[in-house]
Amino acid sequence: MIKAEELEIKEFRGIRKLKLNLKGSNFAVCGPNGTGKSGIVDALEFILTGNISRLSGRGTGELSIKEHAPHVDSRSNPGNARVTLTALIPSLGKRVKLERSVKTPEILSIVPNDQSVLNVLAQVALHPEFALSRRELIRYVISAPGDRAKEVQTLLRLDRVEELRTSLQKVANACERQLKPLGAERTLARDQLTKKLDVPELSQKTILAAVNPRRILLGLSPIETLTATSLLTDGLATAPAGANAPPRIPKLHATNDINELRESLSKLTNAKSQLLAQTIKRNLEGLAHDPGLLNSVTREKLLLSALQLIENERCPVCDTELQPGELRQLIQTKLKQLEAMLKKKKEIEADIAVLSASIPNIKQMLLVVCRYCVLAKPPINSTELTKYASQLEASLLQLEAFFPVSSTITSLSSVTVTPSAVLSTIEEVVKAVKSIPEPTKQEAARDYLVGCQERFEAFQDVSRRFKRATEQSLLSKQIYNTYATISVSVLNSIYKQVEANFTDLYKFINHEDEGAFDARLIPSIGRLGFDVDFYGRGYFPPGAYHSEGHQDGMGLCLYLALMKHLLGEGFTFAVLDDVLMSVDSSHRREVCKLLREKFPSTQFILTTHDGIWLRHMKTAGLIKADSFIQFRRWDVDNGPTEWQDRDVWKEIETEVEGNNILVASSLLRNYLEYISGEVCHLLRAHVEYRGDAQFQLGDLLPNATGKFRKLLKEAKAAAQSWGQKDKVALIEQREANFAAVLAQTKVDEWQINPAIHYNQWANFVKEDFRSVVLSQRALVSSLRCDSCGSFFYVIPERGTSECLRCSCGATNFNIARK
Amino acid sequence: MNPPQKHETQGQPEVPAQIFEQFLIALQKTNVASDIIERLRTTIVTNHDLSDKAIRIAVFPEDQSDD
Repeated sequence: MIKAEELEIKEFRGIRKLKLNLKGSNFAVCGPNGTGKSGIVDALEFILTGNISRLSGRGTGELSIKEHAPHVDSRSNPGNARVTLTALIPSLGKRVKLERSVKTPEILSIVPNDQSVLNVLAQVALHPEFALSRRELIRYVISAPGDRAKEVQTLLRLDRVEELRTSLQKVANACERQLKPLGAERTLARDQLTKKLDVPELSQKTILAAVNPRRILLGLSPIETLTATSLLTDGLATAPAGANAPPRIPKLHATNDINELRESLSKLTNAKSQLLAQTIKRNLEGLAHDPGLLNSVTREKLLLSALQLIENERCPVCDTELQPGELRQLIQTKLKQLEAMLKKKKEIEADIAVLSASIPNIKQMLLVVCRYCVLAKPPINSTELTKYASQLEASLLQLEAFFPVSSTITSLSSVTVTPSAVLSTIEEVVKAVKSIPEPTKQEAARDYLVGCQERFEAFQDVSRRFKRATEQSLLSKQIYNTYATISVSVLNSIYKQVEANFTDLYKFINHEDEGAFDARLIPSIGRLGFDVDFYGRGYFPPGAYHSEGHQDGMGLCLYLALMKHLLGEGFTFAVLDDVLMSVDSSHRREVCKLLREKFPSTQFILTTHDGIWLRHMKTAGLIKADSFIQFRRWDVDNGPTEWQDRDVWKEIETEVEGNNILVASSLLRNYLEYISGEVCHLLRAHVEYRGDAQFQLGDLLPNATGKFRKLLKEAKAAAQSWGQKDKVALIEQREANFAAVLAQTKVDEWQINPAIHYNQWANFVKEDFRSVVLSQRALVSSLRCDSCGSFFYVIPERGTSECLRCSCGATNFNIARK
Repeated sequence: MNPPQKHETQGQPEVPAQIFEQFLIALQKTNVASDIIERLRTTIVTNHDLSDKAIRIAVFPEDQSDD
């Protein structure tokens, strides 16, 4: 990541020309709504990513960077709209100058552009979340678990994790899909081999028991053990009974094959099958005439297809993105709802399965008989057989498909009737086979071995393919399952760390009233639940009981925890765009402290429309006295107008110089009121309680100064009790200085002499008021540390006061006596 | 399990990089062949190719020669 040092914006969004010296440290941009704050945020996002979320995110319609990023008067000349950033890359210790024009947003000029710099900038571009608006912030907190999961997944770049999961699942699914058809093919090949061997069951023992006597009869050695390379016909080509035998119809096998075909065809077309087919047909017609049922089964088909097609979390029909597992669950719920309606369809399918069970075998046998047609003398025309085999295959596919119902009914009719031309051809083959002389024992044995070897090879081939498919399926599943386990485990670990960090951060800013706060991030497939403790009464979603301000605080803490986890020490830059508008004043101080103390290496660019917030940031030491810009107004010709002086004292002086004493006195009073309130809080001064919380300067400043004197007195007494002479002298010096400053302000006299009361300031002449300003400025300065600029404060915040100190520790007076 | 390490690799976001690395390490503890794991590493980590086609080639290279 980077730290921004100097930002220059020209003709960009609402800004004509603006140069900000960010100095690599925290920086605030303050101004009423519509004065150009967001232009700075957009400029930072644009220079670092080439994008502007405000113009390209959800709901931005026809907005575009090229057309709408330039200032409205430069829209025809986008080359004028440019952003330049000088940044430090802490990890490299290098300074880099970046420049990007709206005309060519994809091109970033980088000096120097060595590879290490490019790597860091590529990393920055991968994390546009460095800029966070309140709209985005709240999405982490009060969105639905599914939406929150998306937000967090986007932040953590989990789309790549999901992409790999989807690919691994696709591979595993594809492997598994091969198994069923290969299994069926293998079963058929096994059955056909068993029949060809004429054994009751297939085993090495039964095969060898059937094959070896025939081999011996042919003068061949028996096979001892069957292996993957075994040939049942081994040596047959050179055997006396088999040598040079011309191709011919093996009478015995052919007779068996033809009988098997005829039996199967008879079975498919007998009265029982006809009755079953009629039942199926009647039920199918009933289905076709029941729109509700038909609709259900149509939907079921669609849903089942969808289930098969799910390979990523996207609807296969409309491409709607869904959470992992959500679509599958949705479809299964719908299928369950259709269950009763679909019972009828399942019954029909079961009947179709019974009826069509013999079709694959018939098809195979038809092709075998076709070969006999070729070998017959004279050859027999087998066209009708091949045509019928193709027709049966098509019918089987249609019966399995079920839809459209009318086509299924047609197929049903066609499979239960064997064309007469087919029967005639078969009869021709029967005659041809019968006319062949009976084979000798040797010939029969040879035919047996050749036929069995053919089936044996077919069975071995499909078994090999099935075995390979099974291994591939197991391997791909194992790889997928390993990935699923690891990704869930790593993510759970990440969420646990983020959860702990979030809880710490939130407790830090709410320690006074939610010191026992706890939170739970609950990941599940496609969801990220987020429950928070509500004052020990249980765990609830953040939006349930917590105030909007607390929710804003949670959003910030979750964002910070995620970014810290994501980037670690690389989290050096973040833009918080008006993210804490609803945090109350007491928590704002804690938020400032949180950002300052917990993220000392991160440069925060903060925007706010609230001037008080800006002052909080300054007094809490989050930003330095000159690390801010304050816009007063904006107009289309000139863009934002910033305060001429970034220091309230200079602002007052300007007004005094212009003899605007009324304005100057108002500024001074407002500022002192604010500062006095702060000091009273920090020093734990007693202030008369007002139910309307309308504290005036007279209610606050005397109490603040009185308390400071009292604390110095107590610190001196404590130092004396401990025998710390040097410290006593130091405190006495501080007391004397403070007394002198205070005397100049005449604050102590406000209650007894209305003539010098601050209410009279507006009536002063320039010279008199100037001396008031000088004395008040000196007073404010004496309440803060010369080194770090923070106001002095008492610790702890509640209970017995122990110490008066500043943020840097240059002032650290013990109050407790020996 | 060890806490995930921070990665700042070119072109690969941090959390996915952590998960991919842990995945490849976990595969080594299974009976998946080391040459398959190496091909997966090249495909996923070096080439940043997460497509199912690339994964299939990495896992079943023999299928490609069959084609």
